[in-house]
Amino acid sequence: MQVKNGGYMVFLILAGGLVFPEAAFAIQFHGAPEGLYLHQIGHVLFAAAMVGFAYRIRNSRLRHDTAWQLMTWGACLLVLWNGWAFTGHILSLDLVWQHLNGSGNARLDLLRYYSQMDHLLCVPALLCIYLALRKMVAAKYQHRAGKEEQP
Amino acid sequence: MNFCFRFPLVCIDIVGSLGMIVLAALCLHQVVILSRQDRENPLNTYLFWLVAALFVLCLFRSVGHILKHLLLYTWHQDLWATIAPWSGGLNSAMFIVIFAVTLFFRDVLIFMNRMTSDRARIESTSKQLLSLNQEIETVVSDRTKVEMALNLAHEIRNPVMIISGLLRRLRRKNAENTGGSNGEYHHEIQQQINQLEGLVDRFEKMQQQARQAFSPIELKKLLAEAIENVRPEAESKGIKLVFSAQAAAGCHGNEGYLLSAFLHLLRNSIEACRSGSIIELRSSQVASGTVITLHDNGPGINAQVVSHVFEPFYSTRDGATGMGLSYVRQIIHEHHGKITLASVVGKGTTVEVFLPSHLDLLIEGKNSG
Repeated sequence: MQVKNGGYMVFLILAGGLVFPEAAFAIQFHGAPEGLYLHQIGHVLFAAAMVGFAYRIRNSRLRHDTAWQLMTWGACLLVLWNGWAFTGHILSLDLVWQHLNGSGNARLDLLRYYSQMDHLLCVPALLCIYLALRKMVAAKYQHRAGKEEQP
Repeated sequence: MNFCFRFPLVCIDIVGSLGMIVLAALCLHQVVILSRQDRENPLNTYLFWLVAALFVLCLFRSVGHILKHLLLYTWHQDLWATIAPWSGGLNSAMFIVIFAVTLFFRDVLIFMNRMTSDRARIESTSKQLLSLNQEIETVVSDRTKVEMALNLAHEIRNPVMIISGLLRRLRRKNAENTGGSNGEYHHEIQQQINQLEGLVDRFEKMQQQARQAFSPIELKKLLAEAIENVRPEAESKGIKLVFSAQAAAGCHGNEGYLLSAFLHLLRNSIEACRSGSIIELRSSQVASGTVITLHDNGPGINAQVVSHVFEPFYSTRDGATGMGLSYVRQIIHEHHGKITLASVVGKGTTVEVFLPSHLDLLIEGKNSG
């Protein structure tokens, strides 16, 4: 009997909802700034990942290997690049006309100008990673050649 | 912003973007070679995924940057407005992918460290096994040589003695009948027989010579070395090792062979025991030598198996040669010692080894006797 009453209650609530509709906000709308926020969070995560990567290398036996030392440099440069790009995105939040014509604040304009040269950091970072990998490949070849020479 | 200021920015952006694509592609190429060289290395696999994610990020980002310049300078702002969110969104997604990949770096390093230490341990164990095997082969080879020599000596001695005796009687008879005219032939034959007897004596001395390589051994040191050798194996299985030895305990023998024998006994015990078991190795001095007792509280061996454990080629384990305990007994016998094994199922196994303390005197006594 109690179960039957409970069923009526649920029916009444649902029927009431249909008679007096209201916005339920069940779906969240994603506005334009969300993209920028996500991108900035992405930069923070990327930087954190590279800090962790470099830290782990420094605290392991790999730190004695030249290739992994280069890899650490690459990771550190990527951390700096993320910081640079993050700042650049914040500075670019101003209106486009300010960006194109100057905000009137010379220091801010100069900072914004240099913040757009982030390739000066990310290209050397990739170069370090490339050199590290090349060293690792060369070391493997040497190791294999040494093994084959052994009688 | 005038052209003079904008030009270096555009140049750096376009050249940098192209440079990133080239460098990322080169990185990917190197990491593919690296992972192909050693597919089982988890660090290489990890680097492959990290560099692959970096490559995709660089590609999306650089293509986005170059496209932006191209579209803006050709007055296609609308098209760029459509593409820009995709380019930015993909970049953001790749940041998160790189973050996710990097989370595993710690685990990969732990895994690598464990692999390295395991490999070192396996190498050290296999070296020990190899040396043990070589020592056992030497023992068996020496023993076989001595046994062959003794058999040969035994087989030759009897006929030679009979021939020698018969020849003496023949010489005597011949001297009575012919007045010793064939004496020189008899003398020649006797000389050859003497040579054969000398050969038999040399064969018999071989066993004695084998024992001349024996030297005084401090048993406490030897047993402690054996215990330290097997400690890592015992600890990895969660087995406790207890060791106590009398300082005075010593014997005369071959240190390498005896160490091999005790290592084998200890390893057998570790293999049979489960985690939480205790293996005790004790040595005590008795009047004529030293008694070494190895006791474990493992699962034990049933009586039917106990009676065969020292037989060659007898084993209850898959892949085992069944020669181990037979070699151990051989080594103990070489030292004029005794070995016994007693076991109760569910309670444990006890191996008792007796080694005489004055083997050199024992051998001398035997030889003179």
